[in-house]
Amino acid sequence: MKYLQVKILSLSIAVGALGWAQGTPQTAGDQGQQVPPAPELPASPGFPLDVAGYINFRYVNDDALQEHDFYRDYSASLFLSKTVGRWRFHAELNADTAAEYDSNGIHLFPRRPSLSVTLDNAFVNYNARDWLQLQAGLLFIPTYWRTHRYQSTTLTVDEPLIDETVFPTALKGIELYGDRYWGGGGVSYIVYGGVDQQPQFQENTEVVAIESARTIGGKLTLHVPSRQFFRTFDVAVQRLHRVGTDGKPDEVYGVEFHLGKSRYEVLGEFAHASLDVVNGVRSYIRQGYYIQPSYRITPKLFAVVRYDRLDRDSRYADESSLARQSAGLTYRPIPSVSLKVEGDRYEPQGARLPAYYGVTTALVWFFHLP
Amino acid sequence: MTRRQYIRLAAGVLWVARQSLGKPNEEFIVIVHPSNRFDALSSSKVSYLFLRKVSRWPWGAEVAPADLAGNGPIRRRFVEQVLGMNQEQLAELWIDQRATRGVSPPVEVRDAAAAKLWVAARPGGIAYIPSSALDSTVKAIRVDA
Repeated sequence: MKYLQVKILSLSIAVGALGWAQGTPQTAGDQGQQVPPAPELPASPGFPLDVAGYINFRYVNDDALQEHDFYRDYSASLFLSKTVGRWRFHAELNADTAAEYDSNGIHLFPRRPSLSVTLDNAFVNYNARDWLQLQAGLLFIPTYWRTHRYQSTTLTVDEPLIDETVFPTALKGIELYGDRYWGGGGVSYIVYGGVDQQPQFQENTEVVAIESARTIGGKLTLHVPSRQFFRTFDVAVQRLHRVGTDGKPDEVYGVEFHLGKSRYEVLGEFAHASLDVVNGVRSYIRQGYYIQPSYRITPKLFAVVRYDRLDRDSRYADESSLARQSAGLTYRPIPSVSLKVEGDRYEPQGARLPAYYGVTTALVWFFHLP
Repeated sequence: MTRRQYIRLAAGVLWVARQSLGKPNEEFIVIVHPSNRFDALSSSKVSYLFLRKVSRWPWGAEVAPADLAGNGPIRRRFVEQVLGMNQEQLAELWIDQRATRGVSPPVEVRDAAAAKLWVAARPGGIAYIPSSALDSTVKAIRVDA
């Protein structure tokens, strides 16, 4: 047992040193230099908790199948974090006036038609090494959009159609993850397991139920080295296996990429789910994708377009498909404020029905304390 | 207070502000604690340290980066040359990191003197200062492309 512990320790030191090979450590003789006495510590921030959040207002207006429809949505998110040594605690609370966007999390108060307050994310993280970290609690399934879906981060107002639809939204469970960087590239991995939750939608927007299932999954991201030609060049694959209360498993996989160079950025995700698999034969599939190029016109102004498609149920291929083209502008007068406007064109039922149009706008303010 | 005293006071404030931000064409240097074992690091490695992608030095000391407050020329040059982005992109990145990972940006220090104090007091400290502000309380490391 002791031999095993020594082996693990030496392996971790070797792996740790590997990532630092690019640096030039001093020779042993250099380490003997005189270290001056530590001066008085500068004052550290005294606030006991890192508090951040954003307030968001969005207005959606579309002419779905000739029925003019609009609504306003006010929401607020609060992030509470605390790091103590190798431990980090993080929680995300959301208040939302639109039930359509209330699809996951734990309700903190009885839900009302016009207001829900949920704990969407809460975890404790232990950092053993940067390449070996453990997280437990209420976690998001780590698709790109779920991870970065915050209105203060995204350039679009609406989420892609595949978000929360093909992969489950969140899980109560544990996650083992880590990153290794070397040179200009690196690898990130995530392995997770627990009980997930996935909203069941009706007519694309309304959440009719939250379904839970035992889930295990993993994601591997390659940060492709490009000798600084690209600012970001990430490619990821994800695989998930879940078994619902009916005992029928679902097999889900996804591919995503994120490319950034100079003023240009491209995001893309593809997700595919084989659902209710019995004896190796699936009952139906659900799949979709989006591709979202954007361009930073000025340091404060972005243009973004997105093509989006979702095939919800292959048994009713025509009726359940929806495509959308979006084009928008995001203005960030300061990094913490976003003003967004976006026009959407929807193609319902595989373009068998006439297209309809919509406009969405949003105003977001991100804050942090102190 | 006489008019002359006001002018002297204003000139003094301007001088202090200029000293703390660095001269317009002055280069930055990256500083670490004197006990740090590295003499040089690649710019990508320095960016991982400042962006908190790497949390510990190989010998176990916790990485403690400090960032100069404001948007002076030294900070702008460091962000562009080492982190490979502009000030807006960096601010947006920290908004994303606070929300997605609960990770906050490096502590902000008001000037080079405070940056040196920060680094000298922490074995894992790392910061950048105008090259003219270097003294023996900290150690400068070379940043390779």
